[in-house]
Amino acid sequence: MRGPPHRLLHRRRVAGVRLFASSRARRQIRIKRAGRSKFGVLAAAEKTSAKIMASLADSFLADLDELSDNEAYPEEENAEAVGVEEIGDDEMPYPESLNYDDLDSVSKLQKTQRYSDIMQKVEDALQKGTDFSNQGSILEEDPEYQLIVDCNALSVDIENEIIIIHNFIRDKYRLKFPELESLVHRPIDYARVVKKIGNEMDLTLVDLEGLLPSAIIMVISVTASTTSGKLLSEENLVKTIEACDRALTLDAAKKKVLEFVESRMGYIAPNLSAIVGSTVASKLMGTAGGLGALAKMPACNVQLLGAKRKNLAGFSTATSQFRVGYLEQTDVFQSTPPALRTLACRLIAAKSTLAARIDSIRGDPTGKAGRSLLEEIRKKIEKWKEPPPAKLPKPLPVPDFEPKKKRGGCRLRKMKERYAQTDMMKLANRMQFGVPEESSLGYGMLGQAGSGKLCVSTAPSKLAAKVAKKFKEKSYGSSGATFGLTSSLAFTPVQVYISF
Amino acid sequence: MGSMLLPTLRRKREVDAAIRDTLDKVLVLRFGRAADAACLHLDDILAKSSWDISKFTTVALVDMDSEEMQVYVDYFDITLVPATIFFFNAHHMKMDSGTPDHTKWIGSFSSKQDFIDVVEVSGLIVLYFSISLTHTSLLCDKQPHFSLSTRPIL
Repeated sequence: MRGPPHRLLHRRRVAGVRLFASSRARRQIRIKRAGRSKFGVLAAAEKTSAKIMASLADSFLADLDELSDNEAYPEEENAEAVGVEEIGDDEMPYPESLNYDDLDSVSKLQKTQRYSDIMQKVEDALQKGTDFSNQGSILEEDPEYQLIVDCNALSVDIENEIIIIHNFIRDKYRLKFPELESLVHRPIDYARVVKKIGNEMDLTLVDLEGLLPSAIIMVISVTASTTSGKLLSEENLVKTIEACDRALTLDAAKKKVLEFVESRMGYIAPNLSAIVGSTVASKLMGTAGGLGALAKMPACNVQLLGAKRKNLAGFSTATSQFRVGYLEQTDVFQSTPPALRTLACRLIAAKSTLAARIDSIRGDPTGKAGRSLLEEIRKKIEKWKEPPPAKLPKPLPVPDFEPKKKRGGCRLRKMKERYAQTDMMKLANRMQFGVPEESSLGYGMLGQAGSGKLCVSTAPSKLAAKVAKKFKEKSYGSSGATFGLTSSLAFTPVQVYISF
Repeated sequence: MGSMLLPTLRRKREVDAAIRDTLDKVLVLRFGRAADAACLHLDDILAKSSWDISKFTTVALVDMDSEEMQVYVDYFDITLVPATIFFFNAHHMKMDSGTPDHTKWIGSFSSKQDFIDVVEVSGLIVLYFSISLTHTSLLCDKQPHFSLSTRPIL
């Protein structure tokens, strides 16, 4: 009993299995599985995808032996779709990776009325040019302001839509070139690259100049030569290219919307655009989802709006910046010396948040507050750039006959031990009563009592222990390889004693 | 560094003012001529150390060749150039430096540190112990020996 066909399914875990068999065989497998009871093979597939793959792979490889040629491919498409759904039912479907065969079921935004309305209005407004007739009135009642609010919301929606389409493209293109996804992060770039490459197997025929940095192009070419992907089928290719086109149109629409917002930025948020410039201000507003949302954000978040992900893939991240987003593109930031940039971006983020808050309540329509904030920022940066004041040597203190304050404590005691008289020295200084000195060198009691050696067997002094430890650390730490070759004579405490 | 230019006093009232107004600080007056080599050497040392000891000393130069200064030259009986006289709180400080003349220091110092030592010891021993004669033997063996003879300030 198959449930009603519903579209929630995913092919991720199954994708790995596809590589084992040819496409025709794959189709057959799916048909077979559709016919097979759900609870047989798939019950064996437990939690981990590896396990799933292993058990499924085993069963499919077994199936390959009993394959019979089946020509009626188009009829089986329905079965195929249903079969895949079944799998999706049993394994946990990921809600965010909605993978349909049909693009239109994924991306609905372009069909909505709202989208076309707003785009139309934006076109008109761009044609008309700026119109500042409503400067004095309350912001909310201005129809243009409403349009701008809508534009902000729309740009956020467009962004989400692009992500969904990107997932779609990626899932389809994974058959062909699975590694591309990890090399090209941004969805728009990915769509462009996919469109350029198409179904080409040999990447030297494809010219990716201008789409990506040349280092990444190189990596892509190298990876493509060793990729495990196969050519896409014709209809898959068509769908993929269509999805790419849609992504690119959405991107163009977003750009247009942003352009419109930017042109109105001086009217909407004069203070913010006084500080960071209208381009960056419109981007910030677009990402935040409106002036109100931007005003509510703490400054640390504003600093990170638009921060790119680090592009790894084996490159050194020596030039990857600290965390700063769109604010990096402001004039003020670009003109600060690199050493001060962290401080500067924090400052700019803070002041621009203040300006956004002023703008959100329409506190200063002229933009004067924004300009004064900008002045503050500039002055602070100038102050940071000054060198520190030159140090004058201090004049000698008035000579004082007060006794110096002596400090005590165990730290001082340990320090004093290093210079204290060792027992050897004490013995050398003393002489016994009535016993003349043996040597004329003045060793006192040291060589006495018929011992015949200059060693003193006393408790090991702390000084000696410390010196020995240091010595050991130094040479064992540096030459661990020559452990067996170091002479043990070097470390006998006796020798250390003598060296007082 | 701060080797400031030392003030040169040419008029009698300047000297008077200096002696009177330097309170709780040693006042060092060098009597000499700008042309003399030993004088210049001494001046150099004085200038270099003036910032370091500025917390308890003022240094000034007196030009022996101006007419108003002859009064002082006669009073202190200065014949050899340069001569340095130490004052503390308007008291003339006498030092036994191995020469029969205790009222002044003749000639230059061999190093900056010697000068600082003399100033420190003589000036502040007066301050703390009210003793006005100190024995300094710097030139003999390069090591300062200071001993005090107990003669109270009058």
